[in-house]
Amino acid sequence: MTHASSPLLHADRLSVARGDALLIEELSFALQPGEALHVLGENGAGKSTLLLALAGLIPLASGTVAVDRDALAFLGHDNGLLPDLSVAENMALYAGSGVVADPQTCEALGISKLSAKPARTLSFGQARRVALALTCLPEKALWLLDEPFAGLDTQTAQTLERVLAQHTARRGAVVYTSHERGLAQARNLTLAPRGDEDV
Amino acid sequence: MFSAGLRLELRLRLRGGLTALGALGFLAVALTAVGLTLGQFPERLRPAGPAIGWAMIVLAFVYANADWWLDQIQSGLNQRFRVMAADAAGFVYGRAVGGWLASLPWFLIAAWLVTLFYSQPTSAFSALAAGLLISASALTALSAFVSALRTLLGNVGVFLGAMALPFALPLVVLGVGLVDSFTLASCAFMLGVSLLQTLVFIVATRWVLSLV
Repeated sequence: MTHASSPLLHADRLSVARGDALLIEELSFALQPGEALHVLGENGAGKSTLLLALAGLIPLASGTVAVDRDALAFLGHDNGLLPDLSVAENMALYAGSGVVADPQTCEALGISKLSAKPARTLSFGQARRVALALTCLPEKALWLLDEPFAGLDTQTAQTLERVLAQHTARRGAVVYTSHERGLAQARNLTLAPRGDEDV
Repeated sequence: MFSAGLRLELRLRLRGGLTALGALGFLAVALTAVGLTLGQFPERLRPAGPAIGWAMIVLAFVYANADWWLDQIQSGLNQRFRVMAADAAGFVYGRAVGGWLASLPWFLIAAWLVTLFYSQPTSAFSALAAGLLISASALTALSAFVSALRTLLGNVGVFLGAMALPFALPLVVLGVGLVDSFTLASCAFMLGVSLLQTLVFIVATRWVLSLV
């Protein structure tokens, strides 16, 4: 993990379009180690688009994103599990690509009870827990999480809050979107339609 | 990562991932067979059966495989691997090669079905099977190109994807020629065209996806 005082993420005059619509316009912000950024906004405001752009998964219309790509962990709407494989097989697949889930996070999220189940039989919340275990990796400094609390029961959501808080306490950083809840210490970034943002 | 993708794809396809392709291929063969054998002049149409069946199998394969590629390109797994995995490209190439290898037995089955439907001699089966096996890599890469166009252009891409199918025409023409005249030279020529098209479609797919 990066412990330098330089920002883990720096977006400079970032603009992102989807189709003909410019969803994010001239957005600038920086994220220091130990910080969390809660991205807010109504449906269609561009929250998921922002995370995709920060992850480098869609092109920028203009501006720059300065981030260490090797330090990134990303979870989008899709949990990224292969339905024909069991949870254990999915985790082995990720491990083979260098994405090894943290045992403590797995235990906190109750993954061991799910390991023998085929991914296609999991509820959305259960699949989200597995996906979070495969994303919230201590060795990755910057976590980009799109609706990480979606589908989680209250207890698991509280557990996830603790996992996120522990990561920021370790000088990691988190950018997440959520309609449900968030970290008390998180800074808010509100996206409004047509890119009128308020940090 | 390449071998991980390859092993994964072979395992998934063996578990039934080729069901859609198998069904489509069977449908193509069956429809062709019914049309030719129940038509007004079945005795005139029968000699053309293997060639038409060959073309139908090729088109069915491209469409079915394009859907698989579309799922692969747009999946959360692909997104997460692109951001987090050590070698995401190697993983995708491994899966592509796995898909190509897994398609080979299905081509053999399709060739056998066409031969059976039209009571063709063993030589027709050999020509059909050889043509399909030789073309498999180019058709797999063409499927990826069609999917990339659909990913880039959304709904409009469906039509452009269909318009990309004529790229398969050289192989269709050569395949039909192979059925008529099955020689080592024609096989070698077809292999050259197939390998060239494979490379072109891989490069074109990467270029189109870089624009997404």
